[in-house]
Amino acid sequence: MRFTYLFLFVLSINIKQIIGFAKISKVVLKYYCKFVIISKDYFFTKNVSMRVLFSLLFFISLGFVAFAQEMENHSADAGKNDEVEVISVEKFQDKADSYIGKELAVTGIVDHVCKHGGKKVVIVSEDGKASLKIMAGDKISKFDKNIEGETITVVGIVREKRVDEDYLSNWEIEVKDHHKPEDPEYKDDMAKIEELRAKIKESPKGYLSFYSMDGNSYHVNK
Amino acid sequence: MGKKRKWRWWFRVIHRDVGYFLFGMTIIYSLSGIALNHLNDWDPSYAKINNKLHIDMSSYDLDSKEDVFNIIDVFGEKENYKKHIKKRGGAVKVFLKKGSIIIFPSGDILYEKWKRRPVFHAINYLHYNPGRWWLWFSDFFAAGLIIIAITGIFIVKGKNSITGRGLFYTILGIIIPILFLLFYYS
Repeated sequence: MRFTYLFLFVLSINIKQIIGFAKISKVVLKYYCKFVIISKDYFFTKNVSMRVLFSLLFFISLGFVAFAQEMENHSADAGKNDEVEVISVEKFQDKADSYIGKELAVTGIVDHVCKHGGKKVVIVSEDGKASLKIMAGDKISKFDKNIEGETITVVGIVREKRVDEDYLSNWEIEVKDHHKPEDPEYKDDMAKIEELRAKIKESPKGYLSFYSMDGNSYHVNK
Repeated sequence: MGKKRKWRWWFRVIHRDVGYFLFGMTIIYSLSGIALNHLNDWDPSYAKINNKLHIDMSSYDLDSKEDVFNIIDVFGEKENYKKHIKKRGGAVKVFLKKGSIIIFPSGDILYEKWKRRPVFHAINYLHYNPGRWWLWFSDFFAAGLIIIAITGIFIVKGKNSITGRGLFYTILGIIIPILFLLFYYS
């Protein structure tokens, strides 16, 4: 029975490595082993309920150990921008089209965290002239409102949304389908469409580019 | 030889024990689910107080950091200052610990204070899968709910079983989402 638990423990550690976590830290491992040693007698008690309960606690605690380690790795990864170019949001705005589809680290002040689940933040420059929308990627569960006003560095992939005449025509049809001309939404949307249409006419590219980033990790700059 | 158990006994045991174990998770996900359903009506994670005010700007210059400090000092927020940025139209947004103040050149002020909702902030944090291990645990929870649902419909015998009264309620519960899909899903 002891060997079974030992085997399961080793297997769990291996699973941790298979699924991509870094090596477990010595401190975490030390305290975890202490827990296992202290509670080992409970695992082998004749009382079936106690055995089941402590077996369950064993695996739950293992999960917490791994979870803590994952958080540690996550914050460490966010600070490692060695191979990724780090630029300010002002510099990003100057040559955004050259970064489309590339991984980049952008630094800026968090102006706003979306209340709809914290899945989006807007970072800006100090003079407010440059801004970038960051969407939380798969590796960021959400952005917390506490980071509003902090300077952060986000690592992610730059995306471009092109708004051209076709896009505006489709939008126009959609507005006409869903609203009556006297609705305020109709007037607001049509005004926006006309504003964008005028900008497209002035644009040498024939379309407007709106840039955003799919964030993979971030950290608050100290 | 131990006593041979019928499948219904096993279903009852599984339904009962998995149900006990997942009680906490069910409450967490139900409460955060209700909270997140109404995101357009409230912010479930933070309680906010918004105020619109007006001050005389004749003695202040928004380009001066000292004047920005003086303005926020009017609200007793100098100690909570984090940073400030410029906004379009010459406005200045001051970030505070747990709040912000937007000062417009006209003297209009938008003053927002917020604080974490003690329970909902925590359960919403869990709802958004804060890590890979929580993701697995919540997957396990979701699988557990399926097990509870399937075992649940077979544990009762007699006129209230799935072949009697249970069938009526089960079909009713399935028809409601189907009707919704028929009317709204395109």
